[in-house]
Amino acid sequence: MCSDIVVQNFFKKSHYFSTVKLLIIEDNQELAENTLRYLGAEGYVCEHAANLRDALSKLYGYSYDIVVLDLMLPDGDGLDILRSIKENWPDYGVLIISAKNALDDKLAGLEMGADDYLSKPFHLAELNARLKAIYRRRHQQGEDRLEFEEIALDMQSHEAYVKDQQLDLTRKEYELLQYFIVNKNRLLTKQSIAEHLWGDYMDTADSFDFVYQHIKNLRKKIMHAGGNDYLQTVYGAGYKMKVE
Amino acid sequence: MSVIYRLAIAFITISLVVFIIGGVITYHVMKREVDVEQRLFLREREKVAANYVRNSQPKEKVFWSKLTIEPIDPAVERRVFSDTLVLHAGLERMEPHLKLVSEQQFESGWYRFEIYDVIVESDDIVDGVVESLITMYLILFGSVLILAFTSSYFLLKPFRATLSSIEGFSLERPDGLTFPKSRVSEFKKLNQFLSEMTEKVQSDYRSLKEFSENASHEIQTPIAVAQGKLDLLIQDPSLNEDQMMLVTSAQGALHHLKRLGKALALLTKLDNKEFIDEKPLDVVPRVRQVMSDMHELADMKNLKVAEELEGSLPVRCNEVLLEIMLTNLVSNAIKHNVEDGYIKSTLDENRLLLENSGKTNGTAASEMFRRFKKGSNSESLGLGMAIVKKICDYYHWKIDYDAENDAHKIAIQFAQN
Repeated sequence: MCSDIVVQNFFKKSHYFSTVKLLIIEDNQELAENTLRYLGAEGYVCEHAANLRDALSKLYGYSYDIVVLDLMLPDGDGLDILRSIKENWPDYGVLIISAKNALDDKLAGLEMGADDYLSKPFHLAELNARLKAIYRRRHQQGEDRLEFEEIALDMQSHEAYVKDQQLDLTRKEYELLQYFIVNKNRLLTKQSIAEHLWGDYMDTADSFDFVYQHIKNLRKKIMHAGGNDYLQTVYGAGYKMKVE
Repeated sequence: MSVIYRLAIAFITISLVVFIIGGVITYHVMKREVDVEQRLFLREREKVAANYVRNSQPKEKVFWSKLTIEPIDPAVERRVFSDTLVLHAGLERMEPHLKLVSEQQFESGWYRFEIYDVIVESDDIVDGVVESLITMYLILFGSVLILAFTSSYFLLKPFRATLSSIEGFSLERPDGLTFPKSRVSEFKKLNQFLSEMTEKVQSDYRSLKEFSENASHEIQTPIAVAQGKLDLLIQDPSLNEDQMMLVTSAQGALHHLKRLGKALALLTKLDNKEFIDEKPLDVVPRVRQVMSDMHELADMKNLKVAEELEGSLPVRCNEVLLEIMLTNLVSNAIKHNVEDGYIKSTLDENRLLLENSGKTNGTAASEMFRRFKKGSNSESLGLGMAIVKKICDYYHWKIDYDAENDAHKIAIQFAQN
């Protein structure tokens, strides 16, 4: 399938591994299962560790690209694992996940060298987008482009092109397009889109209008530049970027 | 006024009444004694005169100093005391005297004695009584005041110490209250009771805080699980439109729950005063940033955004808190706005003014900042303004809300560093 090739290209272009290897350190079995399932379907190779001991033994035994780290573990503080990763495997990306409010752990984690922070609960599509961003930042070689069919995003200059014609997008429209391309072929709910663009502050009703408006504009701009309309509306749920 | 001064005043007032009554009694007693003594004195003189009559049996009227002896015709024996006015030799004016007229029979016949002498007047008694009582009263007054002053200082010292201890009491303080030792049993009891009570209150408060903080954190994990399941479910291509709608609304409710948990966790954190990471910041560029972050939302309602911020407004606070506060304020101003309305931000020294159009429904400021106070928008949490207020309180910034003529005005007076 066409889209699968794009996935492969995206990763191949920047790294000699064809797949991204993840270690998910999460003590909640259900949550880990959600993550494994969603990210597995995205083409990641995922392993799971439910506690600190398990996590360390996996880290010593195998190699990974990105570690998804829950800070609250039954047998210790996740920050200890972060410290150990930074010492022994500085080229691993680390995404911290915590149920605590962003304010406490975020700063500590980011100061210690974590690549990004996501607070529970999060949308799996958001997690996917963050992971890809981390991977890209760590493995980019020269140009940093994200492509979907005739649409291309230059991640450094934040510019979008359709068949080499630049689109005049607002910042939010650019972020929206990037979110769609990163999560292509996936149904993105309005909720998840709104949260990606706005964080938690927005009330649902307002943000839905807003999402609708932006998708309408984005569609118009892409089509105006001669691109195809890949943004499908899934009634009752959200949107999906997909080749027919 | 301290209790000792009140007691002193009561005591002084009561003793004034007692002194007045005492004065009247003293007057009467003294007057009686003086009268008795004077009569005895005149009777003594009368006896001297009688002896004289017995010995010398005068035929003519005899004048002694303040005494006349006069032979009279036989009469009825009598002895009459009366008051009279006589020229006082020394003072050279008429003075009241006590006079004794007595008519008696002797061997040589009947005689009348008229004896008088200066008396102690009732006026003089009154003067004496009043003077001595007033002096005594003044001494009493002074000593009571001095006693009140010194005793309130020394006696109430432990009590005042206890009071100032309580004044410094805060639920958030990690340590309990310490009270000075006192030998007074009442104060001992009071201090013991207070320290037990405050310890209890503090521990209750701590466990409540811990509970609400933990609860708002713990709730996020099951929400995350449910949200993840719904995320997976909605990817299922076999779902029909109705089923998708169900999943979406379940997701909406979860989103609401998640925001609620986060907002409550933030409020709890603010209550617990857990933000130590402060640094000097400028409010002005941050307001601009929030405004520009939100301008697309404002555009959707076709709002006119007038940003009239000049200069700078330096504050010292936690960066994230400032951001949360400004975001809440601006998003609130957009949310409760009307189509084609406006938002205006101005700066007046260290006062930030945000004004926006919107229906006014007579909400008072105190109502406005209450938790779970919602406008017409039922989707909202009703915690945004409560958080704003909490942040302002946290940094001792003064926030005012005013609404009239379909315009809402919020002013925040930032504390200068």
